[in-house]
Amino acid sequence: MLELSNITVQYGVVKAVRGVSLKVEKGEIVSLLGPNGAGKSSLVSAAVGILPVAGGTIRFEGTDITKKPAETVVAMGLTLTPEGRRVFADLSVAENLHLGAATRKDRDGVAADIEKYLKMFPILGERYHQTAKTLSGGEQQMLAIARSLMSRPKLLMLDEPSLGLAPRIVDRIFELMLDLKRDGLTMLVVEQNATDALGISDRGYILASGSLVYEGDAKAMVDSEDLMEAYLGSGVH
Amino acid sequence: MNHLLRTARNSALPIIVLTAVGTLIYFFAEAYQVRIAYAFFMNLVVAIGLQVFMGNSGVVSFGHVSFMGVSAYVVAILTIPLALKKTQIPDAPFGLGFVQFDVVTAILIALAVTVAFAWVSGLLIKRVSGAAGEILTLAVLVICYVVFNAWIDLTRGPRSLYGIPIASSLPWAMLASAFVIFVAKFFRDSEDGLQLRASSENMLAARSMGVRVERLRLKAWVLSGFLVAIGGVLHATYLGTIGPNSYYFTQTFLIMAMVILGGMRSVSGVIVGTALISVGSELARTLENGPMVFGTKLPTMFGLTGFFLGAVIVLCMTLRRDGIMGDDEFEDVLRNRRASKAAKAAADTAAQAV
Repeated sequence: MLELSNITVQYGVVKAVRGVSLKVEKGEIVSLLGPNGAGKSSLVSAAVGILPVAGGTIRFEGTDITKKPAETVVAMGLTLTPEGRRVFADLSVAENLHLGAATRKDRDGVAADIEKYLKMFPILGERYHQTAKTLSGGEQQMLAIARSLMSRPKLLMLDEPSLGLAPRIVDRIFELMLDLKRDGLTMLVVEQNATDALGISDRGYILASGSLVYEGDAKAMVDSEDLMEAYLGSGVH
Repeated sequence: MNHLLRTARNSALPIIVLTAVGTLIYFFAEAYQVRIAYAFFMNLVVAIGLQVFMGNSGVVSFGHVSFMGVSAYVVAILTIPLALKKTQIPDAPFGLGFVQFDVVTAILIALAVTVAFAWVSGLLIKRVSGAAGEILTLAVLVICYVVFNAWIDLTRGPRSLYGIPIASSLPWAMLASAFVIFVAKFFRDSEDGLQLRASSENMLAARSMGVRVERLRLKAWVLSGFLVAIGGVLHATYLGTIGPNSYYFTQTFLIMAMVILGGMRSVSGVIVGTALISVGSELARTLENGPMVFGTKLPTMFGLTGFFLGAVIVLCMTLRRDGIMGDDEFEDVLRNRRASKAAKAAADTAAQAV
């Protein structure tokens, strides 16, 4: 469904991503793991078109989207939930949700989807007219995910959805992702929290210093203590 | 509810209050007070015009006063009677020395020319973010000033153009400001406005949602250029004479102080800021001349007005960066007060029940 081939992302002369290839098939959850600064965020940002790609090609559902701007990519059904709960803190929950539908023109559909997600996340309904900064960390992450879903993605890329959240909330976020998978959503999850992410994933990739160092079956990866220790720091976090 | 109706309802309060005050001044105040009121409404048009770009995109612009200048010069060049034109700009290019339009046509042409200029300059501005973009807007201001000064055949250079038919009066300025308030609020609450405000809060998040930041910036830049151009028309058609210095740093900082003091992210804030700065500068101007207060003659203090504007900007930037109104419009303040009153009433009833 999503196919990155030999992608390079560069900031000036510094290469953040060096020739990485990865694939996400329809219906899968795939983890993209690796330590801080490995280039994970750069890779998914490039995939959605908010960072320029210095080399390689990106194909989504068979179409070359390497040079396509974010609005086109998002409209095609590839959406990124950015790192660090990037909700618009000074805007209301309602406005945040509407912004998720920035690429859509079907007003009735947007209104129906908002209804749907308010049912899925009742807390967002209660806080509908409040500014997003009044939400707790977990609630903000729910909002960020709901906002991404407002664009009706076929493939959702989540950048560090567990970052800075209490373990109980992290569990809920991962459960939510399994629910979304059951509804037919394909996901690519960028995480440092390797064990939990692999726990819900079908496959995983490990990135270190901008290069791919491992790819394989998620279950096998969790079981391989050597691997977890070598690249992901003892496998706990 | 329909967006048009909701905007009409939300802009009704400031428009009614301003119109009432303006009407009282128009009928009952002295001539010099009417002139001050006119300047207030004209500056309000320019300040709100600037807010449309600055407040929604989050990019500070020092260049908007140029739009005022361009439209004022176009109006002047097209409306000055031929005889007067011959003595002022005998060598006007493009045969402009031999044409004279009626005021309405000239105004429409002036607005169109300014919009075209805004669009061309906007193509550059929209690409650049942060400080670089702001410096670019400053360059627009300087370039226009240089052109007003140096293209002597067309603009008469540093000397003023005079003889523009005086077609405007306080009611026109009031009407224009009502229109500008409505348009600014309509844009702010529109989908485009919301997306642009989101991009100013968090560019990456907005772009990852597919918000077309550059396109929206250009849209806001052109719309605000158009609104500021109305201010230029008001300027030229009221004074009857214009010169390049009216469209440079002094005016820029006056408008900037108004926008910053009130809160650039809110249209209501800019109204508040314009009112306070207008009253403040009038007071400063009076003090400048060393008036008699309670029988004591105060010393004359030249430059007090400029000092006042600088002080407002400095104090605002250090103490209250979001301005007086922050993100809130008048209707938000009213709603919040009602909500907190309702909450208090509910709490009281609950307390009594216990």
